[in-house]
Amino acid sequence: MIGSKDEVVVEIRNLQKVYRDFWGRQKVRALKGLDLEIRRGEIFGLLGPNGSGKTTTLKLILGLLFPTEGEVRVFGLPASDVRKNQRIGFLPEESYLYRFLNAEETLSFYAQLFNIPARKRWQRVNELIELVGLGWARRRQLREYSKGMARRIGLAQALINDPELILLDEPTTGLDPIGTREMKDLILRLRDEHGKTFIMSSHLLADVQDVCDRIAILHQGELKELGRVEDLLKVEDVTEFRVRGLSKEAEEEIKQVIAKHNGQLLSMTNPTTTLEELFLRIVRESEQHPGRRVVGRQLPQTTQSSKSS
Amino acid sequence: MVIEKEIPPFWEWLLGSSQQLGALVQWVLVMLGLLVLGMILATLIGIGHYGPTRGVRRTLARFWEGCLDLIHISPRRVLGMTRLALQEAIRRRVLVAFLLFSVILLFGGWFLDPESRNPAKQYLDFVLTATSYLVLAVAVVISAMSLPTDIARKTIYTVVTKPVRPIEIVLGRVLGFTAIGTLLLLLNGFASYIFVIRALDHRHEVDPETLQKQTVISDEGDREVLRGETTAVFKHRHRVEIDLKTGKGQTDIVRGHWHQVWIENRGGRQHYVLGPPEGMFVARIIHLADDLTFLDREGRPTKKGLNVGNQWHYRGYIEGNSRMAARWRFRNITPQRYPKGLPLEMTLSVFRAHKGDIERGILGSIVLENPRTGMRSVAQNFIAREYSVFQMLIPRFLKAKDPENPDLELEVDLFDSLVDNGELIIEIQCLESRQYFGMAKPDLYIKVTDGSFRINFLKGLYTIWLQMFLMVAAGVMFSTFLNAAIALLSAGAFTLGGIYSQQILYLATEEQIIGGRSFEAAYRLLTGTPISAPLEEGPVQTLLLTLDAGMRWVYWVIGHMLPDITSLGDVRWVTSGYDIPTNNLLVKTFVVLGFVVPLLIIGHFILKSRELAK
Repeated sequence: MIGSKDEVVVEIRNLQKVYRDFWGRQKVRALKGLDLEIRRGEIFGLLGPNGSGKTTTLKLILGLLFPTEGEVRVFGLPASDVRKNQRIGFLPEESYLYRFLNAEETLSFYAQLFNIPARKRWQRVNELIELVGLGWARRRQLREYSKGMARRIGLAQALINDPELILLDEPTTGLDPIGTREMKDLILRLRDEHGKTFIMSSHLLADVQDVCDRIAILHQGELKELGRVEDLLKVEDVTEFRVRGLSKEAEEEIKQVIAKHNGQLLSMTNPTTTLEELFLRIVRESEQHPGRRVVGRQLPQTTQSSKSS
Repeated sequence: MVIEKEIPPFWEWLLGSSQQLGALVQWVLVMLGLLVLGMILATLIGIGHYGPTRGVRRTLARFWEGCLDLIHISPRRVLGMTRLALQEAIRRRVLVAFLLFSVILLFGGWFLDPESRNPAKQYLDFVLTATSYLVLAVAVVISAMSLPTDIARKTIYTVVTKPVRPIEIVLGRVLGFTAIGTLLLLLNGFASYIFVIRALDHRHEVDPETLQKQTVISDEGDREVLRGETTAVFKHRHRVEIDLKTGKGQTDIVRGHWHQVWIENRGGRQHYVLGPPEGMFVARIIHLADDLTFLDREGRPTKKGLNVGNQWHYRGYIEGNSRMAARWRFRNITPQRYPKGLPLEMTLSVFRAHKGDIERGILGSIVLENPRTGMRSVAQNFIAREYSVFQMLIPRFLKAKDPENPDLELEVDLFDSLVDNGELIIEIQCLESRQYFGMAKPDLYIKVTDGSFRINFLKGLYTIWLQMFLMVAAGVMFSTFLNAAIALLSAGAFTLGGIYSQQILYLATEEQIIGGRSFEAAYRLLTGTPISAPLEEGPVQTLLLTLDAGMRWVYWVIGHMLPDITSLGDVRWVTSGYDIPTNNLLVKTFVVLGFVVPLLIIGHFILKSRELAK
């Protein structure tokens, strides 16, 4: 069931959460009146340092915690209403899965919780195992899985019901750079091709910047900043040109033009790629030419994945 | 056979009678009481957390959501949770408990004595008790620890964020762990059965030197028989009788069993062959009396017999050589049921005021009486022995005294003259001075037939299964709000409390308790006051009695809330050789369901109302 792009998927009003001890005394005020709206088809990032309230927000959306004040509505239903879970998927911070099950059993179990009939269930299980690249380890118990493999099967279980809204808590934790890139690509593909909505919390800023359309920055339980990533990161009074094949003479000419127009040249250097890009290029070339050292550096065509909103 | 608490017929028990409310109505009333109490408690907690308006609103909303969840149970999700619980238990090697049981059987064999007076009872008692304890222990541990482990490891996050109702989590776990317990029970039960049958199997040989040819004279014609003795095995031997015409015969009954015997010709020589023991494992289907009354020393009717000083008031006693008597009133005695007469069996208790020859039984007499005409049969004497079942057949045609002229003895048909409209009174007296017979209603019964021991053994296992099912439900319920260790302790306490629930009720309902109740008993312990000495009058005595009076209510509530786990397990019927009536199984099944259903619902609402994340 795909709705319009303006449809509010998650609505948070004056959300407050106070953690109390056994005797009811206040321990921590984790959220202080949060207001948010998350719309269909966007990738929304919750950013903040440890203890800022981002995981608490996710847990309140999921109904794992109850608000002290305010309310959370998901698809128009209260967060405590179990019916909302039919349309959401959740990848927790660590893949909290049953380690005595193998990959097939794990996915089949979660599919059963969505009341999916046996034939369709096994079809879905096979599709997802292939999607996360664990076909070779499908019969191994999860206790034998590496952290990255557990993360992949965790993502598969989050997608088992083909959810409309997917909540990801630190989705790239434990993944190697290739896994991280694949995870980010998958998030973008699911949003672009299938119209999924994502809410992800992370403190890995580069990951958030790579995939999120909008972000909320939380600190000490308060919303400090909210908006589109490019708007928030845009430096209004600085202009950046990226040019290939420019001669020294042309560079001098450009400097003169800038001076003529009273502009202040801040820097004029060759750009560097990201370490992630460098690593990925080396690994890919190594796979293509085993045993040969990868030499030379080359500016990548793009330093960011294609991002559209 | 000891039956302390008689179970009424199922429908009467369930729906009640004109004198008593049925179990169903009582259950509904208790459920309504629990609902009201639960709502008050939940509302108070809600008000404490969110203030009066929001607290009440949230509690009602959560209650309504919870009720909707209960009617939206999905069998597939429950099956998923059940399978998970099964896989968890199997992969965590719970079935190792079966190996432990095998070891217990191996070593238990050292301490069991096949030469005892009733080896079948001893062996069955041992294996069924071991099975029961082991299965219950495993059930309590796995059911109490699973959910808290899930919550501690946060695996529950990936479950409750799916469209799973709390009732499905609770029910799925209960069914999964019950399935594991069932598997364990069947494995242990099968091993037990094989162990007992094999351990008590023995063969005798006919001792040829003792064989003598004799002629038996009977109305059906004379016949030639061989009589002699078998060799001794397990410290007993049998007398043997072989019909020379058919070449077949059987031994007498010793230690509750007999053997078939036949003659085989091998190489031109005759061999006497004895078969395996028979009748050792029986399941008597019995016909119990409707009531038991007594006659006192003056021959007047009374409800209770004498008390010979036992704290346990189960049996009433009658004094020997006096007018005291015990009278059982039977109904539904028809010639269709008992065409050859009444096969009576007795398990009387014997109390000796002087020891005498302890090996010799005590003489008693039995008389049948027509409840309407008062016609009485001529007394037949018998010898009662402690700890044994005395069997006698009351023939269909017997001698009775003419009610008009007691000196006149008539040959009568039992059903025409002594049974009135299916009713019959059987009266027992003790004939020896200063000796006593003790009896409760089930101590004299008519044996209808022998049922299948194997089926009865399965029925016994089923009663253990009922206990296990209840324990699993309790364990899972506790695990919805307690951590693993505390849930385990609570489930253990629930089990122990259930085992002693009747003693707890006794503390509540008995007027006089020697040594006093909790506070008085504690005071006596601390001050060293003997239990027989009365407390000094004064403020201390008043305080203790007041506190104990309050405790009676506490005991009453606790005693009624806990299931009577001891009476749920009916293995003693199996070990004593009695068929467990289907009526008992039906009633106990519904009793267990009566506890399991609220345990599931309580677990559901607790899980629904708690935060599973921190």
